Amino acid sequence: MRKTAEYLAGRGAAPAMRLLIYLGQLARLGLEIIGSIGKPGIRWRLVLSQIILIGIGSQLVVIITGAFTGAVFAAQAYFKFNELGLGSATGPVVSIAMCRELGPVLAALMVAGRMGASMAAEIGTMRVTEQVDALRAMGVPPIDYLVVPRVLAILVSMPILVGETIVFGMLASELLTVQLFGVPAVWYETQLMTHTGVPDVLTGLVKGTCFGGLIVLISCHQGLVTSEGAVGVGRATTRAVVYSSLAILVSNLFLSLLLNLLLPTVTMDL
Amino acid sequence: MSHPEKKPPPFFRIRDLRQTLGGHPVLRGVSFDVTGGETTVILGGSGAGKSVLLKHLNGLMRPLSGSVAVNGTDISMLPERALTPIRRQIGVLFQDGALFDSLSVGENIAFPLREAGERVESRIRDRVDEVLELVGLKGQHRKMPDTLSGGMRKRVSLARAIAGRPDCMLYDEPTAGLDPILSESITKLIGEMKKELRLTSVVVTHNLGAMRFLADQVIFLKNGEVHYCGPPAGLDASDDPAIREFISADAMGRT
Repeated sequence: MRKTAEYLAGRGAAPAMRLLIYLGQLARLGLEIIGSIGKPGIRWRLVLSQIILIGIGSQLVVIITGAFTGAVFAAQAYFKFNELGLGSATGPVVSIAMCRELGPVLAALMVAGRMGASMAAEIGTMRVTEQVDALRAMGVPPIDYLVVPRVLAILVSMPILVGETIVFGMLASELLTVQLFGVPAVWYETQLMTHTGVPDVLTGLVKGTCFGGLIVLISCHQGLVTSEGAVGVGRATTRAVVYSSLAILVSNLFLSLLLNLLLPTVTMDL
Repeated sequence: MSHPEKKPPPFFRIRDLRQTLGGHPVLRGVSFDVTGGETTVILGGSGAGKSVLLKHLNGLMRPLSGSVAVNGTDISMLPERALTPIRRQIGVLFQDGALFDSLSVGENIAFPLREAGERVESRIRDRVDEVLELVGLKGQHRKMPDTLSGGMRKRVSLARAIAGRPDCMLYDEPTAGLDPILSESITKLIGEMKKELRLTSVVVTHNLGAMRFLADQVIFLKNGEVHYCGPPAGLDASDDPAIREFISADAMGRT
């Protein structure tokens, strides 16, 4: 049954069927991960080393991404709002955009490019050099050893990384709007604090965590099904980044709609 | 009234094993037994299905049909986690060593011990030193796998495989890619393991010299079918054209 599914997923089936089989494989891996997390014997040392790799290793990337996105968004918003005499509205617009959309999506895309590729390449190389088989031969389920530590690490790291992206985006936005465009700091901050609520920040953190889960699921799956040597590892790495990025962008729409119902934003009153 | 003595089951019992890869048949109804404490050599040319057959013996691959029993337990349908205690009885020497790149030699060897629940560091250290000495690599525990030669990688992999004191060893092409001197030394090492540790062994190889040195039983595979199953001496006397061709090609390769 599994072999037939793998064969069809590989070449023999129509694209729609291949997509269904792929989603089925992801769902199965997801269930195995949940089952494994529920069992005792989580390797906390590996979780910690993955947190260092994902969380601490991604600091510079998310700081630069957040700061420059916040700044450029603030500049464009200010140019338009200032024509209407609403320069101080720049703060709330940037903060809502950074919290609800740009922060989580851009941080996740950066992590997908950086860590998704690395996970798929590392696990894929272990697969083609029989290291994954060696784990199984020693009675160690690869899900427990290779996937679960990465899942736990990304679930811890992503909310922090998204939070940083938002904070640096807003700081850069304030710096630009107040220092360069001359909007009084008090106006800017009052407007920002009035129109940004806990639900906005929570939305970003929840989205970031969901995106993290998707990145690790897609990337580890690509690594675990790698075949055909170095070419296969290259293919798995590319697919991990492309599929993760697409999954982030597509799921963002549905998460936005859902979270707008569960965590609605503060009513805008400019 | 005396009871007839019940014969223990063979270590491995393989019956009508079939497997395909990418839609092509690789094993076509393979059947044989491996007796405990003996060495079985699976011989055959490239693409004969030897390594695929070996991967069925500890459940790394599941049969398309047929059965594989280890000490009387059919493992063909066992779920992955239920295989753990069986896999811990069986050490594997992979073709390219399959050492974990991110761990040192010592950590690689300690890995199965830690995973089996050993927590006393002094005992782990002692066992690592002991098996490293056994494979002739005493004091090399700090080295990283990427700094090792092909022969050393095989030795470290062998040390890792025996560290957990398995009852059985599976060797996948232990001499492949090695020069004749290293080949001989690895073959002798496997012979010593068999003698000193009284291991049941299954060796996949296309090396007739290694086969003659190690085998109690030989399985000759071609195109996924067993052409010969018996003692090594019978192989030379076989009339099977595939076996004659293999033996004469080997003789030509040595002249």
